[in-house]
Amino acid sequence: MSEQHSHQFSRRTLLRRSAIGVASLAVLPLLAACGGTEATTAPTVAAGGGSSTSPAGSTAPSTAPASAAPSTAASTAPAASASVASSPAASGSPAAGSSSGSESFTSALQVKGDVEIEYWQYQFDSKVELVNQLIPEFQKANPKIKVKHVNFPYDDFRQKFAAAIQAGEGPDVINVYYGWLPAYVQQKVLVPLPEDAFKAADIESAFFPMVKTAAFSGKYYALPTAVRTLALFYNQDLLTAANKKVPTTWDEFVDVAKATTKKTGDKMEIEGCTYDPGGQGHQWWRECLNRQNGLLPMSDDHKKLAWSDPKGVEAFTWYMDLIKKHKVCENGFDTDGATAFQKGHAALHIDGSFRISTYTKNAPDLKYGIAPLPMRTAKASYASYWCNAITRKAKDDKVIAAAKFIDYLASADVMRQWTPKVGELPARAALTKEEAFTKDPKLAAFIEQMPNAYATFFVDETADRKAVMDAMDSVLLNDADPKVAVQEAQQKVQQLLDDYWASVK
Amino acid sequence: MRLSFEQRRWIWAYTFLALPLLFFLIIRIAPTLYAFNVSLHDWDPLALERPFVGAKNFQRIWTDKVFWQALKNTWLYVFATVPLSLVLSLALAMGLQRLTRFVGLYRLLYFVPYITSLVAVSWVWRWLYASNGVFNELLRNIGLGPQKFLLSPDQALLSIVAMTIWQGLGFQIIIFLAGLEGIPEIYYEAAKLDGASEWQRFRHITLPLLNPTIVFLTIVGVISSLQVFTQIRNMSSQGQGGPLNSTISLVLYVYRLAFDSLPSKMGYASAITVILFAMILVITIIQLKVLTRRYEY
Repeated sequence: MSEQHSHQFSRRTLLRRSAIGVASLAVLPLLAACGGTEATTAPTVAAGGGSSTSPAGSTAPSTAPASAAPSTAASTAPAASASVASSPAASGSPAAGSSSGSESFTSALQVKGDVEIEYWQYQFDSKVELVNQLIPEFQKANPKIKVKHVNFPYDDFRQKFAAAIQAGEGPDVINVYYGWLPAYVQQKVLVPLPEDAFKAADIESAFFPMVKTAAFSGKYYALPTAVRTLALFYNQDLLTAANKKVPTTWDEFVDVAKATTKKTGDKMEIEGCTYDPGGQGHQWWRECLNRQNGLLPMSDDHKKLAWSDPKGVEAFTWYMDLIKKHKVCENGFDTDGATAFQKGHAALHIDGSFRISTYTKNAPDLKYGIAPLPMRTAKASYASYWCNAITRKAKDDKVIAAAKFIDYLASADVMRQWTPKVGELPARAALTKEEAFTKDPKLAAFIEQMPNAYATFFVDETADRKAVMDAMDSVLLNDADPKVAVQEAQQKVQQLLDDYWASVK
Repeated sequence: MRLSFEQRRWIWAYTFLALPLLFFLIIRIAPTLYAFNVSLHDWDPLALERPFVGAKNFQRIWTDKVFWQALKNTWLYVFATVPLSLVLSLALAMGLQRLTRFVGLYRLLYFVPYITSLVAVSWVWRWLYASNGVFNELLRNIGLGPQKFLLSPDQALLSIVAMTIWQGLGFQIIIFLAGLEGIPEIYYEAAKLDGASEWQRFRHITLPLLNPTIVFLTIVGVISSLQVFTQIRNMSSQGQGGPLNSTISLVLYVYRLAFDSLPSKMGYASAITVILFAMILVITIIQLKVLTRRYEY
């Protein structure tokens, strides 16, 4: 008995001690996580990855916003950015040969000695593979330059970069989402592309106007290889069965969605259109529906939002009516819109060009087509892009090598390989005139919209998206007044903008 | 110089102890202390300057509605998860202990969710909760209307709690089984002879002797509930703790501030972790004092 007892006692002590041990162990990593090192609780969902079907990268910043104008600082902004916002068509008709992009920005620059630069991009298989093939090509043309290619998962990418650059290490050239540029430029993490080589006027005549979001105070900080726009995905079989044509206007969109919606009792079987605020829904309203309704959602100098304008509220209400009034979609159906469409459970769906590769791989039998977004009084789509920039780590020869590498990645040759392999669209306007692109039935609609595609100016893309999602949630779940919901969202995002512009001065 | 056997033994013991100790100092404790430092600064990892702001980050907490929402949610997670999962797992463990056949199989079945990646589990449950998912299909079949689950500000948190309880059950069952095995059969026999009913035996033998196990599971459960993150990150739209912040926890909020927002609000995020640290410390001490003493004999 006594033996039993002592056994019991020691076990109790052990348990108690281990409880204390576990307690402190459990607390510490948490603090460590926030102490500037790394998160122990690695989040596994991509920041923007609203969909289980998409690889981290594709939804994340891929879907991010797009505004017409660059975040040029106040001084130079008006002229340059205004032109983008109001006349995107300018670059839609690029000169034939001259701006086809075959000529290089950096041919006059030479490195003095052998130099190795480090290039970082997030882990997105098709991009990583292609860049691995491109680097030997680049090194052959530039024998003195070696490029080291490093990848991290999307979720860790920004944190790794922050930690490395803080320690004076990491990349000389980094692939960043355009929506991160304002913060990175303000924090002096990036340095401008050499100005004498990359002249703003040359860039703007060769590239689509959305690249202006990469210019600050008139200086370009980054160049993209490819861009993405939003378009309307439609399920051919469902449209045929309902005897409907592809909608081109808001009214037709509602009409087709109503005709294709199928329910058994109150149970949704087929959605007329998807409802996906966290996926593309917020972009669709912010940059597309507002502009299509004749509203410029943000002032050209990127300082003032106009969402709560009656036209903005009207566009917002139109979007919310799809689910609240017409009931052609359902929140959380198949967890998200991209998946519902993939499974053939939705007739209409708004998404980006990066989704094509997902569907090709996951749903080879899905019969679908892609058309420009339905419009109202004006055409508009949303554009976004990843781009390559030089970090503050690069010095002297490395800046030149970095510039040459960025120039190479933004060359027409690379773009011609990029589009078929990655599914993003060429950033140089002239290229989209080439048959390989215009004849591609899947890409044509995306390309057609490029002249009217706007990259939203984001200070903090995640917070901006959340503000819009919250507005949509509060109308859907709490029956809030759309006008009040939009006003609240505008207030939150305006605060972000105000803080940003205050810190830039 | 020749060392005695005893001396050499001590040297070896300390050498082996030194390594993990060093590890904890560098990997765990130093960053913790560093976080206190960060919380006193306007800290953006990318910025060249990180001005000292004193208690500003802590003052900001008072007026931050999202923080209070996250604090409230976090406590809801604790109070909804810990008691219920303790009762459930104790009941299941006692059931399992009585089994004579396929015991190993049952243990395995209950333990599988626990060793499955929480991320994978979260996504599967997200599918189960979908508006056209399995749960709603079941509800329809038995004549109940479909529920919104994760998409409703009222149900989302409880939906995540249900998943968490299910997922963690296996671990608690195993610990309870170990505790039950440790109670000598002889006590029960003696009680039976004295005419104690089943309930009396449970109340006066099982529960008191399981006290250390219960204390351990409560403390571990409370701590892990206070740190709930992964499920919410994966089960709320865009990992933001929605809808309308109805599921956001303190840790998720910390993560959002430090790593989602641009520029990073690392200083403010660290201030919240300091609060969380203090909270967990105080609660653990209270639990150790209160819970352990009650049944001591």
